[in-house]
Amino acid sequence: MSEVMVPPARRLGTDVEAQLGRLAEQRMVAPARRRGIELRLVGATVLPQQQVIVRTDRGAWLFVDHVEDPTGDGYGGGIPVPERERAKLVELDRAGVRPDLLWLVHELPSSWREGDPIPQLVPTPRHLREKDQRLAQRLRFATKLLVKGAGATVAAATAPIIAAGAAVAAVGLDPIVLGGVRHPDMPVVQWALLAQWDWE
Amino acid sequence: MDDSRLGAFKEMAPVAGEQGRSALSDFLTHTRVYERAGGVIPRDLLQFGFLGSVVVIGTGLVALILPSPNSIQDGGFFLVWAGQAASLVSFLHALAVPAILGGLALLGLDLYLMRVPTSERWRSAVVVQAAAGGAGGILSTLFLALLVFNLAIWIAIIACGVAVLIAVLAGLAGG
Repeated sequence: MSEVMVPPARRLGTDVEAQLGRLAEQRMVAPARRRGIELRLVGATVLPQQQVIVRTDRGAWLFVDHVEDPTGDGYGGGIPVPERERAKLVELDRAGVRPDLLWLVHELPSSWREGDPIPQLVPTPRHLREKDQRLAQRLRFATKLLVKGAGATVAAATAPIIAAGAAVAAVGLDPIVLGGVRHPDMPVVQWALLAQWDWE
Repeated sequence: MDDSRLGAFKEMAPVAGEQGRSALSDFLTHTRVYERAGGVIPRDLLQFGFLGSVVVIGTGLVALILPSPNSIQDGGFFLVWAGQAASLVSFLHALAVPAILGGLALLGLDLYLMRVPTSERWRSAVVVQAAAGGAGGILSTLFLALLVFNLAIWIAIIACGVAVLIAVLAGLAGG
């Protein structure tokens, strides 16, 4: 997992920065620390109004409010989170970690260009991928057997169909969960890294 | 930023904390466990479902245009296994409409499966489709084999007849 790159807030006064730091400490870092979880502050940004795609030298990143996160669309609105990471987030919640905002950062593929649709960000779970591969292998074998039995002409007609589906590339792009605390008066947010994971 | 503009700004971006609820709690209610969330069936597996459905529909359509079992039995083309061919065609006729309708339903199912993440058990639907396609393919192949076998017999008979004719003509010409 690469470093988080959030667009920084420019020219924050030292008092604002200090106040934000204190708030983040009170509402996120300290409650987590009491449970033995060390949260890392990743920086302050201007309060985001909508999803942002940021290009950095580490690639393109989609920065989006969890309410609008596109990964939930295919799953009935439920954003898929690995069980272990979800348990950690539940623990943080129980510990009293109270961010004002919760945004997700998704790494976008290097081939992504402005105007392209957001690609599929969540891969199929590993156990299902393995099952799919096994089934596909068996069905390919059975089909070949059937086609051989049905004759060379049919085999020639069916072979291109079988070859067409050989390419699979469902590699997910790793997300980051950021909790943010807002400054009471200024439209700036201090972010802490709550969770991150690699899709297996 | 003056107070009125700040108020408007806050309205535009209300935060969960101000509504008495943490954004983290809110987020957690909008999550699901990834390992149990299922996944979209990959194209290289789903193609067997498509192939199965298409074969089932194809078998149904072919069955509709096949001649009646009576004409197969009494038509004279099937010199051997005419009874078996007639039974097979009778069976295919009975299956034709259900096969077409079932095949179309399975195609519709594939359209669903290719977009929506599904659990492990939905993979069985693809296997069932492929198996149905295989069964349809076997039935069609059996009929085709009977047809080709009888055609080969006819070709052999005609070839023998032509050979005899040529021999007779050659004999007459030589005599």
